[in-house]
Amino acid sequence: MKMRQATSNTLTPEPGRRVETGAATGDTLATYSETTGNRHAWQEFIDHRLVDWGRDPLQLGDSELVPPTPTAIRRAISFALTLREGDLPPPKRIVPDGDGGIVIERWHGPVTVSIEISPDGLAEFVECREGRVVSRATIE
Amino acid sequence: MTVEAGNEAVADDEIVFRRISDASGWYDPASDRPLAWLAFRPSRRDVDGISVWRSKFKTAREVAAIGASHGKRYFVVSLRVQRLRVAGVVVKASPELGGVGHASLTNLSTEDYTKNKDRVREMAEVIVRQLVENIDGPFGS
Repeated sequence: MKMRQATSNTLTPEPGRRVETGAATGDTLATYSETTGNRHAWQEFIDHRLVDWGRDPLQLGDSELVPPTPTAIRRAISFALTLREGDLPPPKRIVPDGDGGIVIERWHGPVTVSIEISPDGLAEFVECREGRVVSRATIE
Repeated sequence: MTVEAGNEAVADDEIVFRRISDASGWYDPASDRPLAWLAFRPSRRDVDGISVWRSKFKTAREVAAIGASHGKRYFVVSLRVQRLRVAGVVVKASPELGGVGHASLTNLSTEDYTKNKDRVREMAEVIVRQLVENIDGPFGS
């Protein structure tokens, strides 16, 4: 009886019960896919935005817009690599600030977080809720 | 005594245009927040406030062409003066800075931003989230 019960539990689970096999599950596949997607999106921003700006800053410049400085671009790439390695969701916007700096932004619902990088590479973290600034801090 | 065209005070019922470079990425129609607050962040050149143009003197297309850089494209944002003023934005005619039809958002200046980034950011957020009437363009080559 004990043997049968043991056999029943290990080899013939009741219908609907999930058997753990060590192979990837739906959950882990989704996580893997999300992670891969995040990394890919970050890499797109790095390669096709930041590196491109570094190669050809004049593509951005006009009479009203100063393109990002090399220092700002290097700092932005550094942030992007760190956030990518931390598996954070990719930004929704990486844009020049018009004065030689760069702003990286992501928002979800009422909350917006920004990293504002100045032309000389100084950076601030800004959090807004419903358009109101709730915190601003220098990033070392 | 008559006031020279463009020098008269900007009326509440006027529309003003704000020009935005396409290359800036500040306007992305595909985004769930199409217009970035950066479109109303004063730059170092905005010592007298952010430049706008009065629709009673210029069309959106004409504004896009003013001093346009070769090969660049521009969007033009329409804003109603009354709504700007209710939100606390000061709108003043300033033809001496950019010719007939030029006006300035004088409390969105370089100095204002330097002194109080949070206040200016919040005002810019209100403008892009609540006050935009229309966005035309892109104009240019």
